[in-house]
Amino acid sequence: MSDREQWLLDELPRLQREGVINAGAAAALHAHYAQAAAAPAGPLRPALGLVISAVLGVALIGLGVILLLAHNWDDWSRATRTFVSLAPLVLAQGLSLWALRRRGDSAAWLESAATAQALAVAAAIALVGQTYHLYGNLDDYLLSCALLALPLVYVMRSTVVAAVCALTFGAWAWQTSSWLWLPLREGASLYPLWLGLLVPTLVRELRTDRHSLRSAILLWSMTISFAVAMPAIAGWHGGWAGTYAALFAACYLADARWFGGERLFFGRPLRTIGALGIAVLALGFASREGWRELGYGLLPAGHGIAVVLPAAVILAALGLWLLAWREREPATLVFGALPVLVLLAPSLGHGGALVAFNLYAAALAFVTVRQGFHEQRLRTLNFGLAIAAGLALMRFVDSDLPYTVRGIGFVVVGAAVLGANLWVVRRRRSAA
Amino acid sequence: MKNSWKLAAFALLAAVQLGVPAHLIQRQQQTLAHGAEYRFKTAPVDPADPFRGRYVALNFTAACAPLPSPGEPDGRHESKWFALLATDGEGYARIADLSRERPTDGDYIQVRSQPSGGCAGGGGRLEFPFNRFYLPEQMAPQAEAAYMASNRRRTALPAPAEGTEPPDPRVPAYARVRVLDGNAALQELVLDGLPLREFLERERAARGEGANP
Repeated sequence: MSDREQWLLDELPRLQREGVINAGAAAALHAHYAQAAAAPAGPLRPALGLVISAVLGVALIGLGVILLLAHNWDDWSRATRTFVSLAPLVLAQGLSLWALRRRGDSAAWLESAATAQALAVAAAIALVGQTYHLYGNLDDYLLSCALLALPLVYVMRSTVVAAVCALTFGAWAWQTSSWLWLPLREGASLYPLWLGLLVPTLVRELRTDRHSLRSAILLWSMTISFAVAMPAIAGWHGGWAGTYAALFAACYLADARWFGGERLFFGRPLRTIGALGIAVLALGFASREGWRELGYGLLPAGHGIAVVLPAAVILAALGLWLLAWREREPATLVFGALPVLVLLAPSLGHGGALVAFNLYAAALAFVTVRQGFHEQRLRTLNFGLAIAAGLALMRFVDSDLPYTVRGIGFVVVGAAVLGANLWVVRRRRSAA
Repeated sequence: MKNSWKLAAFALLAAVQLGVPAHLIQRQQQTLAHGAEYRFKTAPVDPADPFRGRYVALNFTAACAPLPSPGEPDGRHESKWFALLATDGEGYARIADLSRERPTDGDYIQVRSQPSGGCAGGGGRLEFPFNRFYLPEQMAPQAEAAYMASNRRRTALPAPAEGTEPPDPRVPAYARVRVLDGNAALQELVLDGLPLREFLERERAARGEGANP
């Protein structure tokens, strides 16, 4: 039970005595929080602070050991180095086995032991490579480590290892496309398969509780991984604008359809990533320089998975947007409309598209500010104002307006930011 | 997942996690013990790898080779080839042939072609399966500095005969590599005829400094 919940339980008798709540409400509150406190701290409801501390501690120790071993003691024989390379892995495996058998209901033990084992695998491969001067290729190394650690996600039910694997797959795919404008290395097309290995754990966590911390961590890591890997799949030389617009819109629309709730930012990864991505792209395309990027092509060029996957993302975004019309929620419809606008842009011509994207960015700012006012959420309000400020900044930098007009514009936007925040704070106080 | 299945799956995972590095060790030991030796001309630089300590990154003159079919889609992508090895007149390794099929005869290594090329004459650049020579942390910068100094050192060479190429003025450096059944193991980096560590000791002694820590 948290300190706040304990404080509330302690306050109940006084509140009842003073007539703030009746006996029924006091009993209901007591029963609710007492039951929550009595629930076993199983893997589904871990003590968050303990899990974070355990994982962080193990990760720091593991990284420290790797750095110590990476020092490369020249005096040691190959046999000694081999033993030293594999010893941390054997120890970590022993720790994991013990945790699995004796602490199978403790998320802190399972997560920290799995993290230690994943680090030990990475260290063992790196140190053997160092001892025998093995071929040093970062993408192969990342993929090997992630694939060897991935089963821990299922055997130890480790969300931390799942997140690290997802991000590593993304980094691997990005690494394969480090020659940005050149054709991709063989193998990058396997990225969907590698990320797909994590889908069962995501589905399981979403089914258990789609608002849980585990679900949020998985959604954050897998979505970021996918966004990072996208250029490796679709290529930078064609289709990134349409694909990225669709990806961010699909995230935002999926959150609106299946998640929702009171939580914001970290607790709503799809909404946060989607909204930020859409805002950044919209502002980018509202500038003359950004518009030129669209000239490289709206749809992916290439064949196979390089076309199929981006096309699937675009179709998903368009489908979700059409479904969103049933709800008729303005912010959802406007945020979800970016891929449609990107796909229509070429038919509008250069000037028309520039105006359209400026109007779109203004609409984004308007619906977000309106939502912030409506829900009295400062964070949402300020996000909308930030979009407005970004648009103003774009126009002032990108156009030939006189300095006086630009100065007045900044003052007006700044005053709007301060005034809107003040208004919401006062409304909240008066409501309280 | 039931507990007994979990333990069985864990045992399998632990075996694979140990088996992969163990296989790498066994393969390299076999190659070092029984492989044929080749000398690859090198040009090291010295980056730092946060994962694996310090090393000398290696480039090889034999890495520039015309790809058999640069116009094919595969020729544009980074792709894998089998490189049949031979030695040139000076005893250094060279690529005798590149093919998609594993050679049935002779020593070979697996290489990757880089789409960016980067070789004079437009040839494709090949990545060999040995591109790093790891050293103790404090020794790698010395190795690099020594090699760069060697590169600049002009040895007294006779003037080339008319119509002939001038000889290479650089101090020779090469990697000794063992090759067995398509696997390569980097054995030693040799500068001016000496293994790298001995070369560094000689340089330090020439400068009047003590032995390497």
